[in-house]
Amino acid sequence: MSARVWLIATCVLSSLTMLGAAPQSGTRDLAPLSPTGSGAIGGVVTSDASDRPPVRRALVTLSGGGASGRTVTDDAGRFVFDRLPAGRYTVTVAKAAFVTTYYGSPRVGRGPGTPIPLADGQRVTTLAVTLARGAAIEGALRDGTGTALSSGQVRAQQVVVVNGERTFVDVPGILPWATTDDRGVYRNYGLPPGEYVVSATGGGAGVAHVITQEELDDANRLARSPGTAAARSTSAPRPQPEFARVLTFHPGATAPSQAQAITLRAGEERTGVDIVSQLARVSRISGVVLGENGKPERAGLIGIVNLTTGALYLSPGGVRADAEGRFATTPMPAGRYQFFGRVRASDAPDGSARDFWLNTDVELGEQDMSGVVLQFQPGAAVAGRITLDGVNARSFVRDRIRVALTPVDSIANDAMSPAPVSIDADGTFALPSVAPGRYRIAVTGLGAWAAESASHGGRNWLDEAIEIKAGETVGDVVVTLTDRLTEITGTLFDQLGRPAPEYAVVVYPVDPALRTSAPRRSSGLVRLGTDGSYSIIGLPSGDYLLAAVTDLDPTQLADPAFLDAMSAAAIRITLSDGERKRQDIRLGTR
Amino acid sequence: MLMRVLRPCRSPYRRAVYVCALSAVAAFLLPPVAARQGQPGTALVIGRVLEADSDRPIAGVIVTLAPAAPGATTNGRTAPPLRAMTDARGRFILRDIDAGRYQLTAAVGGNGFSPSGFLVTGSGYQIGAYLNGGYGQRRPGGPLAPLEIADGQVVADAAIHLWKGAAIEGTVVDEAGEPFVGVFVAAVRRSSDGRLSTGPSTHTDDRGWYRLGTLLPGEYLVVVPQKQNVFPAAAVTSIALAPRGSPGARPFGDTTSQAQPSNGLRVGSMVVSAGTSPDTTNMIPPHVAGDIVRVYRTTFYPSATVARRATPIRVGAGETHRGADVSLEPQAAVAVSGTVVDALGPVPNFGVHLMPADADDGSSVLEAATTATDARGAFVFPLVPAGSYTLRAERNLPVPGMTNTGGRTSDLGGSFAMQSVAVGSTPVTDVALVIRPGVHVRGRAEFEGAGDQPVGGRTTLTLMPTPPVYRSFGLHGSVVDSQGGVMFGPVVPGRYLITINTAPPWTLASVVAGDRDLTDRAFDLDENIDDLVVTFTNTPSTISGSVRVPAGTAADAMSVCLFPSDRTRWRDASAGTRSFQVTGVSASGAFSFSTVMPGSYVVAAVSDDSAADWPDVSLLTALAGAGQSVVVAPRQSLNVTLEPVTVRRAP
Repeated sequence: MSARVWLIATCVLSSLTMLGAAPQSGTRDLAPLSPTGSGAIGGVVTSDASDRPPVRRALVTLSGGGASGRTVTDDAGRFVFDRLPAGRYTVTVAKAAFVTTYYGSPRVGRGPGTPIPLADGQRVTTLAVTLARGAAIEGALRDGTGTALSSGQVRAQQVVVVNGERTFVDVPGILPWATTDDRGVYRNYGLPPGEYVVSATGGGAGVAHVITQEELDDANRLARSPGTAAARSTSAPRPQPEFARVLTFHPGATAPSQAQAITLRAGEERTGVDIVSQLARVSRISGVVLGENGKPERAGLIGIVNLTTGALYLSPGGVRADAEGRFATTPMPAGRYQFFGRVRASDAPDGSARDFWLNTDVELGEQDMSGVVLQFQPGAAVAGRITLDGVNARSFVRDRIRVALTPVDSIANDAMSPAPVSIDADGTFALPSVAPGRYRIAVTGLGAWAAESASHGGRNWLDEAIEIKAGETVGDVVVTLTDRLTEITGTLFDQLGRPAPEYAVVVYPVDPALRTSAPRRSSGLVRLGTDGSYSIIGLPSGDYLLAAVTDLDPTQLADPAFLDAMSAAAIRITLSDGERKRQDIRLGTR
Repeated sequence: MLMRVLRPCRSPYRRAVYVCALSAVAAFLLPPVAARQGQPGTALVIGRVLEADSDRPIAGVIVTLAPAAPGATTNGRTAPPLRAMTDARGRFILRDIDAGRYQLTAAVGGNGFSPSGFLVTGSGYQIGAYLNGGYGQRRPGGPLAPLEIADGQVVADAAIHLWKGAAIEGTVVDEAGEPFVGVFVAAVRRSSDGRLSTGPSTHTDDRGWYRLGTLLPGEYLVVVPQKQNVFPAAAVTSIALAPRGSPGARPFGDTTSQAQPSNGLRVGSMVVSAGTSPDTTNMIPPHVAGDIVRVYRTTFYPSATVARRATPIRVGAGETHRGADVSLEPQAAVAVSGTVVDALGPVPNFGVHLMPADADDGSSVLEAATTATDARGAFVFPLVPAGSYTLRAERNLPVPGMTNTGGRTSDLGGSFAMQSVAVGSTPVTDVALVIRPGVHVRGRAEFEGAGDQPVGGRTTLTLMPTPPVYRSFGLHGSVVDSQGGVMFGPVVPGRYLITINTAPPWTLASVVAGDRDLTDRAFDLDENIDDLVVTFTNTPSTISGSVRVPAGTAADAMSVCLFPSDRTRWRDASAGTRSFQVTGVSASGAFSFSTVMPGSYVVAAVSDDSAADWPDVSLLTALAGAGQSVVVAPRQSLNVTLEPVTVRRAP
């Protein structure tokens, strides 16, 4: 049996994956800027409209191989990249309002594309690329009385089912939100076909008290019989609850579970997707920010994560303390929040700077909350050294290597991750202040080398997240690097023995625990070249499964149930250190 | 909540922009920590917000009551403003109010902001179903009238009228009539005396269609700006090779926005930013036919490349002008290259800007391209259409680690070079830009009056380039240091305006350099100024009084205008400055200006309708003849009685 997985998926790449493959990562693609060979890749771009008109001015990106570059189609939709050296290339075509096309990918708007192997001096100039017009969603944002709400932010997100759970993700590569105009109208466009939810925030001038009937009656009575005494007796201070516009899904739900999904066909223009924005009671959290020394701290950059929605609520710096350390947030809807922050203090005798960290959870109800203490704490110290387990230590270049601790399961990732550090001449590295939390180690800038292990207490920190506690010292991390990179190569043939370039392969660990904890052990979706070949370099040694698929949603690579099902039809491969393996695959055989 | 949609974005460029925008918004939304203290006030305001033309109620409007001036309430407390949201019938109630003089404002919608990095103006322009307004306003954008509130008073029906804004709609198309998607479109307001100022902006949608709404009635140009960000390819490569790795590669809270070409097209040894996503660039990609590269340049409606030849569009309140279609024609482009040098030779990593030279109308600050010199001091603009330009090299801030007291000229802030260049059909090479030092402004602050002086950073001064249309070259800030000293720069020579922000109760009295009065006026800064004197007072002069209203006329239909009698200052007239003020008149005919700088002024009461073009030169000219001349001495409280004047102006 071949491992054939047929899927009708409606999902998209996570934005991280996308950026690895899309034109948006252009700064990288442009690195080798001087093509030197005599090959060429070119073709013509046409639209998916019924008469297939050429698409003018589409942005074509060539990457991989021995060169990369970018060009724009002419009035006849043609493009060509000249003077290319031999290599395997991928072609991506993008134009605003169209869905980005990855040449050879069977799915609209989704990579990876099919690599085009180019021999020395070969000219492949007849690629036909179809660019699909994106769908559009249009509607109006209004309040409960039907008044148009302007300046609201409307986001169209794709509905993805991961492990049976419905989640919403942004469409990569396009502006994620639209602003409602003075009529309350928004329009999101360039969307690939699929199932969407539409949500809105804002659209009002902020937070305010909403009057009640009782207050109105009260005030009107006073207006009929004015007088200082009367006014004083009835307008004594009382709590003034405040309201603000909160995240609302079409047609008018605040709970994500009640969002009404819209299925868009390719190129469809859906109008009338109106949203009735909801008001919710908001209240403030106030208190004091204290430094590690217990004194008021006003220099810290503090942000807030909304743990209820799992999204960043305020970027670092959004919470500010005054000279006495006092802070008060903007009014926020009820929910669970996490304050996070970092402050750099250079009070050490040698003048060196140290980072202190803040991480406090707060449950906010429908009343203002005061007396919250946000206390900065010292971080943990992590240190270790690099050892080389290679054949050619001379090829090792230390300068560009960085050791980083990558937080896992933290929404405030970017803010809470310590800056990557370089390696000292004696091979040691030190991260002096790391926020408490769970981390993996990542080593970058390795060139022709790869990280084998980062050992600490008998565990491999590259594959497994490790918990670091406040004030802890972890001093014995041994990072082993190798220049003997593994490689799996092969070709996929169909039942008649012909190369089958329409397939892709996936390599992932046999051990289910490693599938989720160690992304470096998964190849991701590797599309075959136009000659049916593939090559996967640099997987760590270990036991793997290889499956051939026609198509796959990347989110499924994180779905244990899906991987289990696929494993039944997968080929087992064991890689030892530096091993190079050839694994041809014939469909219909094993 | 705007916050929630601004998730961290994986693209470093985009993220930087979002973070900048976010901090501005956050500052705007943060509540004052101080709470209301002591006994609450006893007055009450009941009111409604209504559509001006139909008297229909407007729901969901945020109404804010704030003291008309610092200390304008009886007990002088600094209470936070009171806010309320109108209900379905447009009603609002504000309670517990201290006696005093207040301003009651109404806000609709919000401040949209453009993340494009071009024409970004802080929190952006209002986007709302109605124009923001307030109590006493008689026309869109007109002055508000103060609301006098006594202890225990019940203001039973404070009606606020709001006007619908105007709108301009159209499409942006290329030479083949195909729509440009996601391109940046901006409205530029043209005052009756022809001056241009920035207006709201938007992007075209997938049909190439745009709508610029919430416009104050008046005259507008529509512009599709095009600016090339040019990077040496070698620099792009080194950015690409920098360690990327984990998200932690970006320092915490790093908001520096090095405009990296997250999308780029390579032209020769340079990379020009271009993209399919409107939030990364405003530039439409160039295209190549044989040896000829064609680019699009900044275009005004309908297809003019200079503002002077644009067709203005006049719109009234609630009107929508349709069919303002802008058509862009590609133009053959050639390279312009050269070197930046100072006395010690070529200058690497120095910013160079290409400005259109043929616009004497304020739109020349719409730069055509920007780049920086490479390691050998060379720069290239690879795609320049024919025309006259000014090459402008400048360093706004000193090289990090440098002080402005010594070292290489080109390392100092304010060092600059300018050179005209005419571009035809052949490349322009070997342009030499010779760096010269900038000029500085030094002086001192003086405080007239007793009490704690706001020195040591509590008073900030800004040296603003004028005209402030679009991207402004380097704002320069200064503070009054603890010795009372003031120091700007060095800065690039040019035309500047000094603006000041100080702590109450202090206000600005004058800005003088030698015998030149620089108060609220733009001046040419072409040589060092060492004798700047900025004078503050804690007892500002005031003008108050009443308007004698003819029987049968409503006093609150009047406005009182105050402006300097010196005509040479009128070209710098700007609403919202201390020198040019307009205020509403209360129902009893009373008016007041609570902070007036000493000097000679004209005060005139006119029907509010005829003050619509405030403070255009044509209106000032008409008022100068009919108004009353007053001389305001320091710390003087002047009382005047005004007869209404009628202004008749050429249409």
